[in-house]
Amino acid sequence: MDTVVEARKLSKEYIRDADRVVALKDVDLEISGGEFLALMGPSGSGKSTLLHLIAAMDRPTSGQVLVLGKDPHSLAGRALARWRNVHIGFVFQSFNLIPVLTALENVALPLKLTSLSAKEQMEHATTVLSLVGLGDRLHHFPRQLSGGQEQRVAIARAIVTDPDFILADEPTGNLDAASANEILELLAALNRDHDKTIVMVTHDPHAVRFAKAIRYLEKGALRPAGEQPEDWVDRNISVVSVPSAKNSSEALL
Amino acid sequence: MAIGSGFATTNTMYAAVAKRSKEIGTLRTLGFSEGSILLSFLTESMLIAVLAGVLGCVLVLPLNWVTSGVGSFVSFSEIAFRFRVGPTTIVSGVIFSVVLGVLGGALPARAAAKKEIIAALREG
Repeated sequence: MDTVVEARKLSKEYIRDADRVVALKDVDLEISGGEFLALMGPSGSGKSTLLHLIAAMDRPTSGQVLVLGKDPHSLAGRALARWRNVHIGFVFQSFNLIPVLTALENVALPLKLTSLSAKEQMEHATTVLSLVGLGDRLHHFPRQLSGGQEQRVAIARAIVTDPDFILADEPTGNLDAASANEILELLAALNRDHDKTIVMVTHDPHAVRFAKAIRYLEKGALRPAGEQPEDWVDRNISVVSVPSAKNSSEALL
Repeated sequence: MAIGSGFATTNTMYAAVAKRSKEIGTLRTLGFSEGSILLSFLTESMLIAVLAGVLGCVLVLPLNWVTSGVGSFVSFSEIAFRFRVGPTTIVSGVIFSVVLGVLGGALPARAAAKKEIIAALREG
């Protein structure tokens, strides 16, 4: 598999209340095409920061991240915005749907930036919503949907432009166990059946079982591949060897 | 009064920008540019101002042709005023409200467009 994301000595520092906070420290990471990578670590370990840098939502303090062989941080303004629209599908922990738009309109939103006609945009959005199992909820507003359904709409919005990557930041963090399972099966199916490269931030040991690979971040530093923190071993949480996603996910797509 | 209205527009739009911070961050993540965000808030501000202008014109119609006067005990004369709302007044009133909407909404719209994505998402 080709390397699609390559981070080199990636660092990010913030100034918070006059203090310098190191969020990421010299991170080297390679992600292959078709990968389903879970980024794990405690709160404040830099998982989300790394995801934001890959999605070019934030700029690194030093180092470089190459996505599909190109540094998106070398772009600016409209070109950078366009890059995000074409290459990245982002799934937020709290869904971030626009409350005054229906599920269909929410999913069609990224297509407003494409050359598709209004009719084609609605057709695309309808197809993708059916794909995630919400073909009968097209005209529902977010407040009329359950948390799991809202996250499905958010995933539909993330894949409607057929991006190269799906980046998910704690996608099951606000969901009950059953809904979380459905979302993870959906992501696994998108990876397996549609060959989508997925990077998922999580600290849920159950969630990582759906991923193909796991990397751990601690205090802004990435642990070597295949190595998990000692306290995880103490707690008898084994996630280094990850079984493939359940076959039941096929029913979703 | 116009200056006051301009400040009111600015205040309303700053409140809208603060309330919809997360929405702004989400739209930027989806690929909307700073220019799109600026334009959308400016358009919103302008539309609110046009609606306010039209509403003002409608509300003032019952006063059309009402006459009032001011008397002077020095000269024993009276100056009469007749309130007349013609098409020209209505059109210029609405145009003036559009200008106020654009001017009042410009700074908040710029603030919305210039928000850093991560900061916008965290503020929401």
